[in-house]
Amino acid sequence: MTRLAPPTRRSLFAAALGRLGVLLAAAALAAVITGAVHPHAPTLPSHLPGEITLDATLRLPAAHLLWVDARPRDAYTKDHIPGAILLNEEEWEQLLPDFVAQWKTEQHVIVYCSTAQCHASASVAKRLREELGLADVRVLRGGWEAWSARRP
Amino acid sequence: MGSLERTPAMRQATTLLRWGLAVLYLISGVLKLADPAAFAESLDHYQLVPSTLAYALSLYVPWMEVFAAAALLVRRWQLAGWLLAILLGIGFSIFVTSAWIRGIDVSCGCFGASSQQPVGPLVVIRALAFTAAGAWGAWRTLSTHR
Repeated sequence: MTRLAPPTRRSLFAAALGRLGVLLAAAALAAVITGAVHPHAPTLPSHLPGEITLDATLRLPAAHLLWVDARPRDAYTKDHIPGAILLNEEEWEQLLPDFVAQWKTEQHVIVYCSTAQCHASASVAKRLREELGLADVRVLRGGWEAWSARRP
Repeated sequence: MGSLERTPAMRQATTLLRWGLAVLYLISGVLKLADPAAFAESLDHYQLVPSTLAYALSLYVPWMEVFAAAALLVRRWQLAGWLLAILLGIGFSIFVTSAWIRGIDVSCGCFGASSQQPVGPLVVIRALAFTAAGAWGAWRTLSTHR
């Protein structure tokens, strides 16, 4: 009876890589099935990078949120999200110091404008990232319209 | 070094680490699988990958963890399990370190939606420790062969 030689380090590693491939493929298959049947499966995001939904925003701790209203001043004066500060491109230079004074490093900055189609919030968010170097700046998907629809 | 690698104490330490890592990954994977949507949101808050990729990862990573745990517990699959643990550890380390460096206030989400621990140095060290544990296990397994 011949005794089999023990596997070498190289052959063991090669076999492990093959098995790793099997594990990754099995995980992928399980993920696809989970996505199809799980009652709490995530829905494919339709929002753009840098956007955040109202649901996701409301799950963040309120104390760590800084709402920024990027709409024109008259719209802000008429009504705005409680605690929101006005910062639009038309009055950028005048309003920016107020934003800087209120912003705290641990806060998530959420910028909104009127509707899902408006661009003011994306522009303001871009300037906050580029000019102030802020990393945590998001645009509220659906803007003021989404907030108003949810308001009791 | 060769004699140290084969000491019973080292074998027992590696076995303990293997079981510990398997249990942790199993718990972590199962908790995330309980609510993949919440995990997808956690990943999205890191602002590191596009939302679509965060969606895919929220379904894929928990299963990687479960399969890593299972592989670590089956003799013939142990080395593959250690390698998968290294991959997971590197991935977690990249996510938490980038959030920490960028100063993003995000809860870790490391053990599903219930883990609200904010990302900080301790979370980063833990992720790096997971990676090191995988590397240690893989090296130990390979070192017992020529």
